[in-house]
Amino acid sequence: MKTWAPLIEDRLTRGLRLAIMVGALALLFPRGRFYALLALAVLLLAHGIVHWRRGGKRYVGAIAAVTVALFVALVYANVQRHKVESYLEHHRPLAASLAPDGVHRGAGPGNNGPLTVDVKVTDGKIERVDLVEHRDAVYAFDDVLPALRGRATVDTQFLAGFVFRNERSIVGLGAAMEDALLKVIFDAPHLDAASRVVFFLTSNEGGRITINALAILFIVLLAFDYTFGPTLRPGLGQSLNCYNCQACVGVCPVKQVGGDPFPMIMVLEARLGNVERLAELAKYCVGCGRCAAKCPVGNSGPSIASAGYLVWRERQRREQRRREHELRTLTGERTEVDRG
Amino acid sequence: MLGMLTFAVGGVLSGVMIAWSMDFKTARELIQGGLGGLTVGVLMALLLPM
Amino acid sequence: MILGYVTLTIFLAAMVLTLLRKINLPVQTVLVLVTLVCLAIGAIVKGFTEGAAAILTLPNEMMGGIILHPVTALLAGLFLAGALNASGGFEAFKVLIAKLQKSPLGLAGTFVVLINFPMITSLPCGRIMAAALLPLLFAFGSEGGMNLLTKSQLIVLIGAFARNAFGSCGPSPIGGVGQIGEGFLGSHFPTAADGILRAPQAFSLMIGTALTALFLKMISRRLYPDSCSLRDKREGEVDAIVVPQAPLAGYASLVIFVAALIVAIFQPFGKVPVQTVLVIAAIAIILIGRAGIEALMAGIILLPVSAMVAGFMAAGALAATNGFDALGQVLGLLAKVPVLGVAGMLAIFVQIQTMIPLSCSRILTAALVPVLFLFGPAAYGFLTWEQLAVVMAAYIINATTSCGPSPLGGGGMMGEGQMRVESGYIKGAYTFTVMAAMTPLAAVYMKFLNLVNFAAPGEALTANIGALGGFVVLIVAINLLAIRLMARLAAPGDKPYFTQVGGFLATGMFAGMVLALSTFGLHVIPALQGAFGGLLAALWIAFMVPKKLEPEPAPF
Repeated sequence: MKTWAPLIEDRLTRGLRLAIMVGALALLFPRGRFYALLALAVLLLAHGIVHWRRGGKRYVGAIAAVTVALFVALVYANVQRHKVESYLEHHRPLAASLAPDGVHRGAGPGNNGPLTVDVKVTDGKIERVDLVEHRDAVYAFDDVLPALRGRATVDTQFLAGFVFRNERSIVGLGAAMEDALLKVIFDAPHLDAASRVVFFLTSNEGGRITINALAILFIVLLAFDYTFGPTLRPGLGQSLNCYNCQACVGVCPVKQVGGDPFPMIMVLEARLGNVERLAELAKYCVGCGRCAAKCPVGNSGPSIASAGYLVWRERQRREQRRREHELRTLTGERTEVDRG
Repeated sequence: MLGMLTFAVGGVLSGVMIAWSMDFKTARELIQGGLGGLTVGVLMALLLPM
Repeated sequence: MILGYVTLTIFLAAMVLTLLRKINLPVQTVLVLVTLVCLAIGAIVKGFTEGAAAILTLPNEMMGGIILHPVTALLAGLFLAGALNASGGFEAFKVLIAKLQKSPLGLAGTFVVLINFPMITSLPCGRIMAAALLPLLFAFGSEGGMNLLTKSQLIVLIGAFARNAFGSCGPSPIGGVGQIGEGFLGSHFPTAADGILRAPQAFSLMIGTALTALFLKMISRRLYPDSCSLRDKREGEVDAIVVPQAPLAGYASLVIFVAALIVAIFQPFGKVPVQTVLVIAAIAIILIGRAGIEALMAGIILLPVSAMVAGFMAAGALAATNGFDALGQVLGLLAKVPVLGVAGMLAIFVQIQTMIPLSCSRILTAALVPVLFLFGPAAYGFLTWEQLAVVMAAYIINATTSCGPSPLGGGGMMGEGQMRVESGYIKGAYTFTVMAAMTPLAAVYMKFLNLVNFAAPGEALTANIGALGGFVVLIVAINLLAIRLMARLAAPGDKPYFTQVGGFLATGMFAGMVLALSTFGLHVIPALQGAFGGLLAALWIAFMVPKKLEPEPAPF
């Protein structure tokens, strides 16, 4: 217990935990990637500003650098994309004869997510188009795919005739076919790996549905962290049981501290992980234990107070040691401990 | 509209009852209680899907 | 089928034993254990009878029982409350209250508004508002320093306020208990999710709060005269009016809160889930109030959230092991008993959560609303859709108010603590008004007025305001009469206690009858059956009200 609890408390702070979760979300949730990335940057920036005095400056600098880098990458990737777009502008409708014979794979954005197709080219004509992977309604494509057989070009005008099913699915199909051919056309410009990474993170546009889903995920993430936090601190896990019924307040001889209901407020602060405040509140507890006798779930005010105080003192000591160490490094003094 | 009316009347009724049980027993205080109940009823009805 | 009876028995027995403190564990823990035991038994039985493949579906069915929407909506509502608290929104509330006292409403009118505030704001858990405002109410008394109210007035004020707060989670549009029922009614009433259950609950809560105040004044004060340690104003003590102050951000956050509520309810910008609205509003409030993300978490009250999830899990486990089929059969058998019939069975069923008051109503609601749904055309066909809506309204108000009288850490304990009384003081007042007034009021409101607004296309229903008015007056009159009669005989000791039981029985019968009348129309047989069912329920409820309160443990 003693070995990892300080590590988690000092290193894996709430902001960092949330950042890691949002980061994982950014990679896993294709349509929310851009928003999640944005939220991550804002979260880290806010965290840095809030902790400005306690080494937040480094943070802010690093995040600002990352943000600038992201911005440069975004500009670079868009220049790359512009080259491809202007090539397409000049060659639309894209002729299948430009591409060598064979089966070519390309991807585009569908209505519900990415869409991948195989385009089979024989004798400069499109022999057939197959959907490899997509999340759209299957009926969006069922008459357009046969109609594409034997055509010489990827003609967006022609595809526009099928949009009554779902415009975004059909437009995505056209984009995927163009992508498939562009990849194998010898003199066409290509997106390089760096731009692909940028577009992987930003090109998935969201919408109301994505934002709603993200709101719900946000709620779940916060709730998860809220319940996860107190279990990291020895002795404070019992605070999760609290019913907020204030039965303890009714029998407590103190009843109120600073306008908050006592001893319930200790439990709530323990749950939030505010050990400083908890240690402050613990001084008011007279230790009579009447709250423990009354609590419907068996929580005990005195035990939370002492556990909180211990966690706080342990943290103070670590902080003290860290400061001493820093001081020694500054003055160049070496001690037995440092020599190992 | 009917809902609003019902809530207004119900509010007045409950307001007077609450005022009386809180030992506010003069006519003026009972009327004040009724007015409070009316406010509550109308406010609540405005927030409900009618 | 035997399996269903076994798991159902385990579930019900565990709930009752928890209530009676024979199992001394938090309710959620009990529920999770029950779920696991039920699934284990189910796995063993199904493994032998249907093969190993049947076992693999069990965990899925349990998880499938969890309905995400009310859980996340509740959490989002709690975030909003946390943000409101951190940015001084509740302080702004208090300033408004202080201003109200100088308006034509005066002191009496202000207290009426204050008592009903939780219902108007309809937050998803009554504890939010109670935690924010109970200290303010307490300050009106002598201990609190303002000296505006006597001991008796303070008891009534706090008791009525707590009653209102611990029913306000029912009509809440932002994660309320009623939303569980609305979801089920939505399969027939197309606009049910807009709040088909809100108006009946709010109406009966408003009236019920007043009756609770009356009961507290006239009966509880006399029945338990020695249990309150509040004191009256001492001679020579001066009044000290405290004028509260609030930061500007508090007012701004209040405005955002109201705007969010209106957007969530009336959806002026097209369909958006409440969660999105609430999260955006909460973030806006913490930005204005310069609070951190911790402010959102500080708003979380875990009990209702975990209670609801645990309830859904238990419901899923019961469904997976045919427990609900067994319950349906038992209730179906009950409905075949001649003196009970469907009406009598329903009269007991709608009171079930007041009979088993757990610390959060969501536990049983999550598990029992699906059963109620099965009574409708979807399965057993005891009820038509309209009748189902009426019974649902009665059931939900009874359920949402059940955390008030719960001795297991329910919300009512907050009020009792603040009143400086023993646990159980408010139980009589709370259970009586719910059973005798609020449940039938919700039913008649739904039947005669609210169904019209939500009728499915092709159904022409007309409101019957005369019948509604008549029933409301009748219900209130009977309650007033009962309270008056009980009060006349109430004094500490045994005999008045049994008078009180008599009052409970009479009004319980009446409530069952009104429920039957509003469900099945003007027929004699169902009315009598309903009355008998109501009597049985009232018998249980009446004897759960403590005769005497335990004395306060001696000071250390």
